[in-house]
Amino acid sequence: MQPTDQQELILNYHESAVIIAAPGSGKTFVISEKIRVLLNVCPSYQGVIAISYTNKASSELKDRCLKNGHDPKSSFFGTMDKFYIGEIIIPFGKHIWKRLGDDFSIPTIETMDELEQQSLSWVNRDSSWDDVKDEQIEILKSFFSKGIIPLETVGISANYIFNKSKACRNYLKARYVSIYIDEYQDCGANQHSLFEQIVALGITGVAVGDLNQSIYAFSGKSSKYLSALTGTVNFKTFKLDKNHRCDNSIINYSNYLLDPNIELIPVEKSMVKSFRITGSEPQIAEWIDKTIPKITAQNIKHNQIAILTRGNRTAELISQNLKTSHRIIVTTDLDLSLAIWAGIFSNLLRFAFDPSFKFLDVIEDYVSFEKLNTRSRRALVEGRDRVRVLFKEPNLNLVEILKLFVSIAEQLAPNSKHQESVILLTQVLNLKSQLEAYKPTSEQDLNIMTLHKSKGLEFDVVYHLDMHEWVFPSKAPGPNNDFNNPIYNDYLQDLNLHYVGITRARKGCFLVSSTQRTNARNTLSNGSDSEFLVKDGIEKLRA
Amino acid sequence: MLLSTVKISGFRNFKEATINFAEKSLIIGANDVGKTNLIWAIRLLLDKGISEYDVEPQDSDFYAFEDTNEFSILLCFKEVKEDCVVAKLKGKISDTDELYLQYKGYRDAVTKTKTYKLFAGKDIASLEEINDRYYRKVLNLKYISSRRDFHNYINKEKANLFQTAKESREDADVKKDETLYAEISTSLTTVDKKIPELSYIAKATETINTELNKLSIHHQTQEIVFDANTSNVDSFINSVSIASKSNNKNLVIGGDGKLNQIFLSLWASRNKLADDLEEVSIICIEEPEAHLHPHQQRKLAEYLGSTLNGQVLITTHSPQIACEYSPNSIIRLVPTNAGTKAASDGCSKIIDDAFKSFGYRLSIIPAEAFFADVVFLIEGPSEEMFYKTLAKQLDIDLDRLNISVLMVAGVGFETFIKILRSLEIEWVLRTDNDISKIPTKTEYTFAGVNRIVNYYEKHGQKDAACDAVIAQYKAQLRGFPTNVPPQANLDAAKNIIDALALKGSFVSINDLEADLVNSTISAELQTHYGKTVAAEIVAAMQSAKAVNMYDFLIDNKDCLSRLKGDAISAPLEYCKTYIEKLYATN
Repeated sequence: MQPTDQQELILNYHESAVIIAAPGSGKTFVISEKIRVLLNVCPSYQGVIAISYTNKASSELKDRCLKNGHDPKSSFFGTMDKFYIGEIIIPFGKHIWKRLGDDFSIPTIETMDELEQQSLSWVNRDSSWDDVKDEQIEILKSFFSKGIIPLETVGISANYIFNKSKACRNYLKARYVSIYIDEYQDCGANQHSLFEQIVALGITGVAVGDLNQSIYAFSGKSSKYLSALTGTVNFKTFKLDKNHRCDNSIINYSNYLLDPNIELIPVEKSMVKSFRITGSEPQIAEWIDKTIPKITAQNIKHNQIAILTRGNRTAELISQNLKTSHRIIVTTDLDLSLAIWAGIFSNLLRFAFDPSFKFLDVIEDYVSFEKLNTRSRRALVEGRDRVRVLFKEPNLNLVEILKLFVSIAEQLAPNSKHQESVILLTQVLNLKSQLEAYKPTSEQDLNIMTLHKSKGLEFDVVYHLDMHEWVFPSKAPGPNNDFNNPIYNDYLQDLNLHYVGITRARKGCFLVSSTQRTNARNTLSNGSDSEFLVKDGIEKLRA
Repeated sequence: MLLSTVKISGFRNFKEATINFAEKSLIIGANDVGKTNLIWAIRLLLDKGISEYDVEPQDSDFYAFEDTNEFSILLCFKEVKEDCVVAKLKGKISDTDELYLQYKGYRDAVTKTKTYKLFAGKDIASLEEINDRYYRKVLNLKYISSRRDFHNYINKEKANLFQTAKESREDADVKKDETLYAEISTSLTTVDKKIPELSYIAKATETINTELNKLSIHHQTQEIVFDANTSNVDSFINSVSIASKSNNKNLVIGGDGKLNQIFLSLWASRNKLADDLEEVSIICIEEPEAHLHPHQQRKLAEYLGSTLNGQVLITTHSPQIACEYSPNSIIRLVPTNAGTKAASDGCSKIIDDAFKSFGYRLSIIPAEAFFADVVFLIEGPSEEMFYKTLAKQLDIDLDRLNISVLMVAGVGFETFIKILRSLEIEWVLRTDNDISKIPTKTEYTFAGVNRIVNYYEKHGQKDAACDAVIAQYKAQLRGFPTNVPPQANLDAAKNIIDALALKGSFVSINDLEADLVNSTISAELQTHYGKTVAAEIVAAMQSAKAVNMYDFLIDNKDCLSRLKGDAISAPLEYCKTYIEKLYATN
């Protein structure tokens, strides 16, 4: 792939930078190329920190960076939370908060017992580490010494430990030449603070984001930090605003949505269409079934089509009624867990279902195979063969699988025994829909997922559902049930989410509403169209 | 970074030992004291060449003299600042740049099953188990055994050397080489073409093809040739062998000494190329002096010291190499009742300070004493000559017993005692029993006895009985009006002399010469000097001490055997008994 002029500028700049990237502008291409160049020249004990918003986005970025056998050297690919925990909190928390061993659990606060929850009531999404009081740090310390790292506190702890531990700073500086953070528009105070401090160590920092794609305001994150960076002298700002992904009519539509004064690209016909289906979700599913053949007739494969919904409810209902082969993209709790054992189990499940997933990839995230002794190697190879045998059986022997996975985890990470991971694995094994999530995507399956999950992905055709008033943008009647003066939950965030949904589509985007919709009480309400469909007269940009 | 301390407990012949290291450390000690064991202990944790199999503990690894089923080797590193190590050892390095690595071997008391565990941490309290020696890629030890395989290594290294030199060529050189390479290639093709034309090769080729044709018709389509096989230019060039050139004639390199030098220089140059960017390597060379004569040994020590970067550990038996090292880099392993230990815990300021009074570098003679288990200090060359000959006549094999006889002439006993003490080498001395006038007073003193009392009090191993005797009689060692002491003072001196003799400090009755004249060999002395008056003989002996002693010993050494049991022989007997006791208990 030949870089564009815009991309070339960024590739040739080697200092800290902010990249403001529009959807489809080749952001991942630019990041992965930059990382590949760095990995080529850095010694094997060094690498880059590459932070993605989700595990999925991270493994995609990793694949892109390492394709054609590039050596990751000592790089970190993962989410911010994984970085906080694995690179700062566990290794260096031990220095200042005194605890031995790697047996840590990372529960969310709501799963902790009542007393523990009370002691953490001061933690909220916006807590920034420098507002945290000494006695609150003491609380985090006492949890740490019991082997507990509450998930919501990782940003605070990581910043605190980074500042207290010279060894931590020495380590990061020695190991990493550069830090990349994607989706910086969704950055929180703690992430921003740590990023700036890491850059101050002399590590080159690259923040990538799109102000218009901020969809995570509900988790205390705000694009203000991206804006702040663009105003800093240490960071040179680059723009990647050329959308190479979407049809020009889709680009026009998405840009107009955010700014009606934007200059439009001349197009012959619009590939954005809206449909209002008579009936509710079953009828929508029926309509989709009917329209799919017309799309596939244009040489578009099923897996290049996505059905995006505002929430899980619509996704479930469509899945239940859709006859065309499809799968719901779900994220299991096992995938979300940051525990080492949970990671091993996830990898093992992927290996079990996906023939293209190598066993070496299962283990090499945790231990280098060549460093294992012969006995461990043999045990692992036997384990691998046994996984293959067990998953060939028509009815999975869940007890045996569980036992086998635990024994493999014991080989790979004996110091990270983690009962919670075992429970999460049991949950996945017992729920068919969750187990399905580990099967490789087939070309035959349509994708159903929420708009949030679609971030960073792209498809030829997008069915953008839930274009209903009250639902999207989400709003509630005003005080005293005043339907005439409704209150929006977060209009701007929903608008950005809509923008994300539309810009997932390369060739065609269908905005779908219906006369009826299933509401939160699982009954049918009348469905009226979302105000987004007529925002600033946008309807003129649809076919 | 620096491997600053190794703590060993319960491993092989180390019961409990702390050994400090310097950037360049020289490990010395008698054979079997445990030099190789100390190196092995470090290698277990650091040497890439030690496989998972070799790293398993053996029964012989557990301290033999007590019933122990556990041993530990702890390495402490300081100033760990190299990026590659800091990057690799996440969380294991302290704010103050320290790193600890530990190996623990275990043996089940009943089943005798042996296992081991590895630990790493920023301090001793936070050592955590690690699964493997993953750090060895960036932190390791490169070891050259005293049994090195010269030929193999030199051949292997040759290729590396060529490759490295090739990569570092300038463009102009590359061009020139390419032209030359093409020329060689053409020449070789010519050679290849011409060899089969040699009449006997051509004939042989014909014969074999004729025979093959008889066997099978298939062979008609294929002709067999004798190929000189030189046309692969690369393999031809790479097959050059190292040879010595002398007057433009090639000589096969002979002698292990030369090979040893080539080996070490190849090895050192390779090590010099690898800087500490990708890895930090501690270099360990066992007995680099092998097969070299003394001057070459000294040269080699100098060469290694200046060529090898980073931390270097060398074990040696060579005083020539030892004298090239600064005293604070000497680790002398000593056997004790409780296993082997390092004198003054290895490289230390104590040793350094002891040497300061001596001049920075050692002269060759005291360096030899480092390798002794006991050093017998005497006054001058005539004493040295006499006692070495006497030892032979008394069947005391000084070399076998690892006893050095060292004269202190010009330096004084105390400097030597300080050095020996810091290296925990047992010292024995014999001095003249001179009586001298105290300056500015009309009083006399037993100067010789006072000397040994002084050394005992400052440097000796304390002994209550001895202290009591000294306390009781010390005052009477001085304060008499003439150089002929009264009987009471003589008795007092005698008591102290007897007590200190038990501690290895001896004084003559008068001096060596007088003592000899009064001994069982006086007849031989009378004959040799042609004199009968004792005082005259003594005077003659003392006129050109060393020369006279030499002349006498040449003709009369046999008679010295009669001195067995005489007070003159006591220091040698003391040394012998000490050594025998030492090795009986170790």
